[in-house]
Amino acid sequence: MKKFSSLIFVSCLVITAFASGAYAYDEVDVADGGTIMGHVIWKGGPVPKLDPVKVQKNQDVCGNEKPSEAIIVGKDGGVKFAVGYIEKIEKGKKIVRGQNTLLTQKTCQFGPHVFTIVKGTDLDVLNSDPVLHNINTAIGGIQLFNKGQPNKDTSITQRVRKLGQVDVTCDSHTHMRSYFSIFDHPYHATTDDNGVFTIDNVPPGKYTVKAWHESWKVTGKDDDGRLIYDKPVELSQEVTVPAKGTAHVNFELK
Amino acid sequence: MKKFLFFLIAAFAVAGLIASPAMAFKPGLPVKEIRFLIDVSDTSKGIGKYVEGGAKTESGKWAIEQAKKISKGVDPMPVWNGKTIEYHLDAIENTQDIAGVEFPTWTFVPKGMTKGGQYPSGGVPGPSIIANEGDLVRINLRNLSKNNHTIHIHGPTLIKYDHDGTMNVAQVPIKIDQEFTYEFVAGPSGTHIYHCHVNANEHMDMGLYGAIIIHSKNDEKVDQDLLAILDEWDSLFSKEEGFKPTTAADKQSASVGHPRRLAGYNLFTINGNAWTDEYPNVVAVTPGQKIRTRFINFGNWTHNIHLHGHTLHWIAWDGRNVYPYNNKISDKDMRSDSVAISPGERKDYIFEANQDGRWVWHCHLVPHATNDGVYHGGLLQAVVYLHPKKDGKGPYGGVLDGSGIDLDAYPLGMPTKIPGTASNDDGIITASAVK
Repeated sequence: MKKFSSLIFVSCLVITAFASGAYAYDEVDVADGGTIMGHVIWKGGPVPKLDPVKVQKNQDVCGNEKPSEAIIVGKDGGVKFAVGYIEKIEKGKKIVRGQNTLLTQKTCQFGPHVFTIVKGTDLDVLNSDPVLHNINTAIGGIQLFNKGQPNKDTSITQRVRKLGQVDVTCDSHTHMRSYFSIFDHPYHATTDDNGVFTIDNVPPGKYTVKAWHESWKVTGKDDDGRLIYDKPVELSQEVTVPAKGTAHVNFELK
Repeated sequence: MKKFLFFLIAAFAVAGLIASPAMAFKPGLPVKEIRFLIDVSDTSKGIGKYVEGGAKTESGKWAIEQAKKISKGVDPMPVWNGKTIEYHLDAIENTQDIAGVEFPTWTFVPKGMTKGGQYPSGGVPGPSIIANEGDLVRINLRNLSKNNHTIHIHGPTLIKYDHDGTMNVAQVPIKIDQEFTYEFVAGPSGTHIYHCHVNANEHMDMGLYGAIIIHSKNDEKVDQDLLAILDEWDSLFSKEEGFKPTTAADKQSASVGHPRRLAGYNLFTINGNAWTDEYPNVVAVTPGQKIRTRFINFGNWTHNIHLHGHTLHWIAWDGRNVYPYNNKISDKDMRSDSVAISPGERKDYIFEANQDGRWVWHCHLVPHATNDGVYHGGLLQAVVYLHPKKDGKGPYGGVLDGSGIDLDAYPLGMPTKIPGTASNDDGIITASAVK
């Protein structure tokens, strides 16, 4: 028994040692910050045409089907709704606090479909529909929060206090899906209609910049009829940010 | 065993990654790291080292002589046993994550650590000072922070007043880049504390505290000797609220005074860790063990920590035996199933691990068993029974792995459906069903 207990203890110490890489982000004045301009581009041949997602409930409010937002490619191949971010940065510009991030539920669709937020700030969730929605969030399958919103034009505010990639669903409407990423620093952005993201006021230096995309490959359905996608795509690039200059970085989705 | 270890390590490793959002919900607890209570069973568990020689300070010499004078009487004290144990601490500025909320902290850490303390990140509580009764205890404190500090030795009585640590009553505060050596003779045996006594309302709340454990050869033999330090945190004083602690340049923070009044504490910790399903507090036991648990309340609120399914023998209060306990538990002891403990108190309990399964031990001021109002969390720990084998197959029971406590080993009690009932899509039970 002693051996067994000590093995558990040693295992946990090992894990603790691995986990000790956690760091705190220090907010400082950045005098000569540069910019990272990222471009997420579709290079996978013809853009996949995804079937609309069927609405199972409250069709009078939601409609019968919704377009899939899993892959949206602009005219020049830019991919909307990808997330670009610096993987690890220990100090830099100040985090904007007091300006809540807004997630809407309108005609049974989350908006925006993909967004980013900083740990320790607030997320406002607005229901504009005359039907019950609930915002059910999870990081890696582990629930973050799950709150019901039965009334039209009401909002709830939730402070996010964990790091990770969050999957957002509504248990009442299985077609609804959104994603957001929680960071402990302010260097992240979502791509626009042209597939471009911009991260500004970065202290000069070398960084690993990553792009995340939810994936567009449907691999099945869960018990509630909700589409299951393949693993999200994560791409990585090394960049050097010059003082008061711009570093360009491209990511290709195939 | 191999399978168990593989599962344990693999599960922890997986838990550290960002998993696919499409991953199914798992049963049990998404444990990333178990937070065991602190083992204080003997001096080898601390960072102190026995060194040659006697007292280095005049006050230490005074304490040795004082011990001789008051070694007999109503409240007998030990005399110096000829041994000296030495501790080196630094006071530093730090940060600590409490249930996802990042707090600026001031902490005592082992000399030379820039982070640390009990866990790699954080540092609250500070290192435990563990000694044997009659040892000369020497604590050297270096101040590497932006504020002035002291150490108050709270509980041990064989100490000269000028090593008592109270600001401008006992000593001049230790300024930035200064150091001070405290010496005292270890007695009485039991659970004591140390903390900064400069603007104590602020400095203790920022995290400048730890335990002093003095063992006696007369102590009842136990299988585990554990420490549980309770505290509260107010997220108003976190980084997410933009809080920045004061410095000595702010005139000892008199103009700010954190907290100026009893704060709106909304996070609660055992040994600096608020229970979350990712980081649960655990007392791992085997059947038949006798467990001593030393509770210290370093917060400003009272707590009442209730243990399910077991009987607690109250054996010591502030480092003194509780009558009629005399170093052997019996049915004559003060017994309960809860630990009610006020700020600054220390209460020691022994319980016999005569059950099986998983049990919780939580504050019954139940809002304290939450993280900012979200149940369950905070002042919560699990007593988990471990078994080396089951039917000759591998370890089982309370197997804490990355996906949670092993549900096969300890199945959860499962409700069954009320016969004849039905609910609609929104989960509302119909009137006929109620009937």
